[in-house]
Amino acid sequence: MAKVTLLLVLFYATQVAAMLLFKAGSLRAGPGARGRCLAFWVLGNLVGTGSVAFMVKVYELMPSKPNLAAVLGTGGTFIACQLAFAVVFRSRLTVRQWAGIAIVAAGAMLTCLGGRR
Amino acid sequence: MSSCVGSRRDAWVTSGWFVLFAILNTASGVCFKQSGTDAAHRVEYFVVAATLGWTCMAITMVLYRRMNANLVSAVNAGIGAIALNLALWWLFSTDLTALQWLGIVAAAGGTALALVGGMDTAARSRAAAARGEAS
Repeated sequence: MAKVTLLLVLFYATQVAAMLLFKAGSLRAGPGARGRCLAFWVLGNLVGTGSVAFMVKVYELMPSKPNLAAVLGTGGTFIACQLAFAVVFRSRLTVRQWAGIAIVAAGAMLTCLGGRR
Repeated sequence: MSSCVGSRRDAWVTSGWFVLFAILNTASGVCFKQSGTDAAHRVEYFVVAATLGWTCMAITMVLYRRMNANLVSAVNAGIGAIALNLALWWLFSTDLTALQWLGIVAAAGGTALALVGGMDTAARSRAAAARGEAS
C-alpha cells in the first residue's frame, strides 16, 4: 500500500510538472517566444511520457483492481493539476465554475470505476 | 458592436480548438487500446498514439493562451472522457454500465457548468467597463 501511495504521489507530481511546463510555455513573451514555446512543449511531453512508468507500476501492484487504479491515476492527477493551477496562477473562478470542475472530476472517475471487470 | 462580434468569433475559434482536441485525443486513446490488443501492429499503433497525444498537448497550449488554465483542463478532461468512452462503445461494441453512462452525463453537465459559470461575471465586467467609458 505504501509503495502504491508513493508511486501515485510521484505520478501526480510529474503530471503536474508537465502541465505547469505546458502552461509556462503558453505565456506570451517578447523575442524568442516561439522557440520557448517549442522547448516547453518538448520538455512537458518528455516529463509527461516518463510519468507513465509510475502508473504502469501501480497497475502491476493492483492487478485485481485496474478500474480503481485508473480512478486514482486520472482523478488524482486532475485534482492535483487543478490545485496547482489555482495556487501558482491564482485562478479566480466563480463557485459555479468550481462546482462544474468538481462534477467533471466525479464524472471522469465514474467512467473509470463503473466499468465491467 | 465590433467587440461583441470579435468575442463571438473568438468563442467559435476556441470551440473549434476544443473539438479538434476531442477528436485527436479520442484517436490517441483508440490507438493506445489497439496497441495493447493488436500484437501484430503494437509498435505502429503506439507511435501513432503518442504522436497524437503530443499534438493534443500543443492544442492545449494554444487553449491556455485563450482561457483560464483550470477551465481548459476541466473542459479537456470532460470532453475527453465523454468522447473516448463513446468511441470505444461505438467502435468495439463495448458494453457501458449504468455508472459509466452516469459518468458521461456528469462530465457533460460539469463541462457546461464550468463554461457558463462565469458568464454572469464576465457580462457584468463588460457592462461596468462600458458604463465607465460612456461617463
